Amino acid sequence: MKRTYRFLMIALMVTMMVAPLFAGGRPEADPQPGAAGITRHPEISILINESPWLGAFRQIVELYQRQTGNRVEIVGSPYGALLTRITNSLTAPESEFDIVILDEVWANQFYEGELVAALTDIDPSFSFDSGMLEYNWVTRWDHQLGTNAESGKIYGVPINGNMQIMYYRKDLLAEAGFDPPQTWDDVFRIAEHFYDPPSMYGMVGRATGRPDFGYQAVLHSFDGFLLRYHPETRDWEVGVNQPAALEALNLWLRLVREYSPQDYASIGQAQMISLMQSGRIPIIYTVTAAAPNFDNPAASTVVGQVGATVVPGPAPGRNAPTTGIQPFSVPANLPPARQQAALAFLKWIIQPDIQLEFGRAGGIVTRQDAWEALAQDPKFWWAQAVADSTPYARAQIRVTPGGRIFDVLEGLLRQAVAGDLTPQQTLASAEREIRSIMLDEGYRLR
Amino acid sequence: MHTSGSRILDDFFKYLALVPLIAILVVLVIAPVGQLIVTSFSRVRFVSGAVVFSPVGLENYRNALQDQVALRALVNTTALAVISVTIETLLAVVLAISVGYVRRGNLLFRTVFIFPMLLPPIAIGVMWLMILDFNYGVLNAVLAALGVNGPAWLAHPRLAFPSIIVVDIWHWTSFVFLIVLAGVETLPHELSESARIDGASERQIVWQIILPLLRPIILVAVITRTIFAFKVYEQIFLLTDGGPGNRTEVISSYIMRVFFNQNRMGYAAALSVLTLIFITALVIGFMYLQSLLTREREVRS
Repeated sequence: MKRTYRFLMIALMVTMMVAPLFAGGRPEADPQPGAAGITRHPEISILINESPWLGAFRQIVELYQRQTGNRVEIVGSPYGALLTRITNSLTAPESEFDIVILDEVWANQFYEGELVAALTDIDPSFSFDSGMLEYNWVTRWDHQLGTNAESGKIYGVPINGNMQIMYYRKDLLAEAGFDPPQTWDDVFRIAEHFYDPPSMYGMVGRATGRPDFGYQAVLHSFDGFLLRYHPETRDWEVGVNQPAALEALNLWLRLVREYSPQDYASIGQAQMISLMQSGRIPIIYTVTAAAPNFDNPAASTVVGQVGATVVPGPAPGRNAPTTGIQPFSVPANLPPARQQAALAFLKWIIQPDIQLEFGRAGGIVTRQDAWEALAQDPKFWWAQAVADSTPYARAQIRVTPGGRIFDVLEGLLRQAVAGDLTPQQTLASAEREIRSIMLDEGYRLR
Repeated sequence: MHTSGSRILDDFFKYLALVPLIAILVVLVIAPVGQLIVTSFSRVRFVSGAVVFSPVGLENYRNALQDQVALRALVNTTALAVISVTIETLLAVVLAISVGYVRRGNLLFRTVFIFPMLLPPIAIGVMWLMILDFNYGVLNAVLAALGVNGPAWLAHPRLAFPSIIVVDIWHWTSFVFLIVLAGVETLPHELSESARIDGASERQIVWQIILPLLRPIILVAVITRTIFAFKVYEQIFLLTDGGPGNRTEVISSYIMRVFFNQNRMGYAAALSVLTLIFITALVIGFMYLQSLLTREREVRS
């Protein structure tokens, strides 16, 4: 008995010592030439958020698999858990995923730390053609400037060209004699007219889950800004506590609170879309990706009744829809064969005909030619609004601590919505915090 | 009859047998906590694809002591723990003693009362979201049918925190109940029976016999539950995401935000270490209280 016990103990210890030697990543395979000149690559896995356009992406991946014979695994994740999974994967000895989806706001920390690979390092001949929209160089990072710039290395491919647009109920507005809103005053007139709680509300705003995204559209429309880079002096200006910002915040708080349901403080993007789908609000401004939701008969009571236009401003022509671009990037901690396989997929998906297919499936495309083609089809009633918004589109701030700045800003805006801080206190705190973060990260401020 | 060589071998294997346990302890507890402490004194950056730790001394701890949101999160978490655990303990003790008295259907009551504990926190969050949601929740639908306009349970500045406490109580009373019930069932019946024969009322039996005997078990339940209460995260994330404002922000959700959203790993590690110290101090306090009570009982007896 004692001998058996000793034997088991020794076996257990030997197993514990030897087991790590047999642990390893996915076996690496070299690209193989296939039929008709198609290169066969090892299977890739893509981490992507579970957003309204995921169905369209699945369709386009199936097309890729049919056309090339290469296998792709899609790993969906709620948006809230995305950054956690990406950080864990990119800081592991070898990434679990071959492609990860980033967000305009926090992609830069991964570019700056080179946790994702420069696509030109994988394939020196890689570049974008003129039809590709680069959204103020969202995937290029200049390590010298510490911001996105044309001079930077390309660290990814814009895949979700999300931009805010204004949605409105065509039937309700026509019946009441309203045109689609062009100014914030138009928005309040419409909201006031239809406000009849609890069956109907006038307007809801994104008060939680990145409320700053909604606020920025108002802020920029008043010519305000959070951060501005001055190339002549090579320094940054924090503009969050200026009069335009206060005017914008007061207006945004009215948008969020005045004609909304009582639970306005907990309304995020999903709730906004849901209220529009259930016919309980006449207007909202939110991302382009929301559009197909209103035409889904299984979830919407307003199919065919929603129109879209450019997000309003203080006056016609002073519009400033904010972009919410999501790029696909390739982890740096991957063996070359897996990086090649990932890049092959990225090159395939940005081709003009594939982008058009992606758009037809409900994807938010990132090519101007694809948007123009989609706008010809009435089925894509939002495409023209996107095309009209492009000249006014404003990027979110693009610095390494973008995620940190927006997290702090979100906390302050949520307190402003809840009435815990006055607008003045909110902006003064935001100015102080943003200045401190920028200095902490080594940026020069004026 | 053992030879001296065999005895030495036996002694050697006695210590060798501990090696797997020590290895597991080092790998799963000591090393991660050590890494956490090292990280808390560092600034963590990604440079050329590698993680770089730069020592910053006490900077992260100084920042933590001045961080108003962290303070608010700690106050919220402590308030949640104190209020929830107190109410849960009272309810659980009443339920456990009552179930101990039940002769028929004891198993049914026991199953029903421990049911919430079996559900994953995410499922509980979703379930209560469907009950408390302002627009689509069952509670407000019922109130509307009665002609009352229900409030925004999860978004009103004064109602969000109490709503979270209600959900927490619903979830965790069963846990305390289970521990206390185990204590009730091991109590010697002879004491209660002889008290009855001596003419004691049921109230006297509960107050003067059952509760004093249950005291050590209740204290264990309170300590365990308090530790769990400081780890609350999923329900908050699903129900309020810390809002409105930061009225329901708890320390776990704040550390999560600092670590991942703000990418400040060193600072998040410092907050984690401070939380660890706070909980450890709390547990030591409880244990000291327990030893005092035990000593007092021994002196009395």
